[in-house]
Amino acid sequence: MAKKSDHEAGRHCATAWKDWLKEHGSRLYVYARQRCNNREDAEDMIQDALVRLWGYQEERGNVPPDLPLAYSVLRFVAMDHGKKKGRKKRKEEAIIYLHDRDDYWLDTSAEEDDEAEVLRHAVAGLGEKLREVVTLKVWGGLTFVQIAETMAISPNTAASRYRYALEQLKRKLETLKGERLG
Amino acid sequence: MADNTSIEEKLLRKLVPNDLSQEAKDRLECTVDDLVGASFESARGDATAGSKSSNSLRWAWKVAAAITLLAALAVTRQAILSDSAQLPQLAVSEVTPQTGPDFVVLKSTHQIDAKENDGLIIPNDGGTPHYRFRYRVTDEEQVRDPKTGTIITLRQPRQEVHTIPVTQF
Repeated sequence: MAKKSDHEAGRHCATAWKDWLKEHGSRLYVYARQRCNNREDAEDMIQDALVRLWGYQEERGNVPPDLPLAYSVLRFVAMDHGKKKGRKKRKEEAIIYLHDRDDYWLDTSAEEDDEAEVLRHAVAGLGEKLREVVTLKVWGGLTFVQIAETMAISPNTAASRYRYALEQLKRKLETLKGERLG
Repeated sequence: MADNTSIEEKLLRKLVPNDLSQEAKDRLECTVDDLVGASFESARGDATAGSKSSNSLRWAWKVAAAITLLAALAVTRQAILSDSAQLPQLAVSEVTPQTGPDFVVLKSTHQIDAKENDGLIIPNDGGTPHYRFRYRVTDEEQVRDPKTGTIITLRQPRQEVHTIPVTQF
């Protein structure tokens, strides 16, 4: 009897986590991908974060984690990952990345016009902290309070960085329009 | 603000993030199954030990103390035997316990099974921000009685939590 109920509890738990991954996996991937140079590293980071989140949630009834916590753990995994790679390896990855033209963190096949391409390059060209806030706000599904919790900053700082990032993007688009007109 | 809203709309409309590959999704689901399996197996093991666990621990430490004492006796006996020509068998058998003093240590390990980084913790009560690392550690000692073949394993899993306060920003 105990075995059967344990088995059912385990199945229920696995289903809950898999549903959580189906709902949030793509968001986590967007965040991870903009922190590294290629798809494989991003997927490895998510794998690593998942194991850590599981361990953390074992003390909380094995329920799937809140999204801000997931991003927070993923963020530290990304930082560890970056340190491990080392400068030489980063150069090698940069070379590999340039040749792998299909591996962008935003889907180039979905772009309908030049403006989309400019926006994509502009977002990729933002400073790391600004790009992180934009990613979490636009595609990550977080509020400024949740972003602040994830990045260990104040909500005001999160909002300011977001505003500043959007202004930069707007300026880049306006520059493009100006170039086209004349 | 309206300008920013239009930029936001463009970002949402024109830029579509890539998704995880199917291979990654499958791998993550397998990982979940493995984690659930391991977690609920160990929980079942703890449940069957249940109320007897504290008694088992007491027994285990008594056995460990007995093993240490017997090992000390064995070393002493060996020293005496190597120096003396012959000892009365009766006297030796009176001292030697039924299981024999010659326990063989098969394994003695201190293993770090996993390290988890909880990241930066900012307490809600205004406490000092700190980084928290959790280590799952297992100490294991295994001995064998060569006469009966009995193997005694003492395994003590535990979690060590290390916190590193943040002193600079």
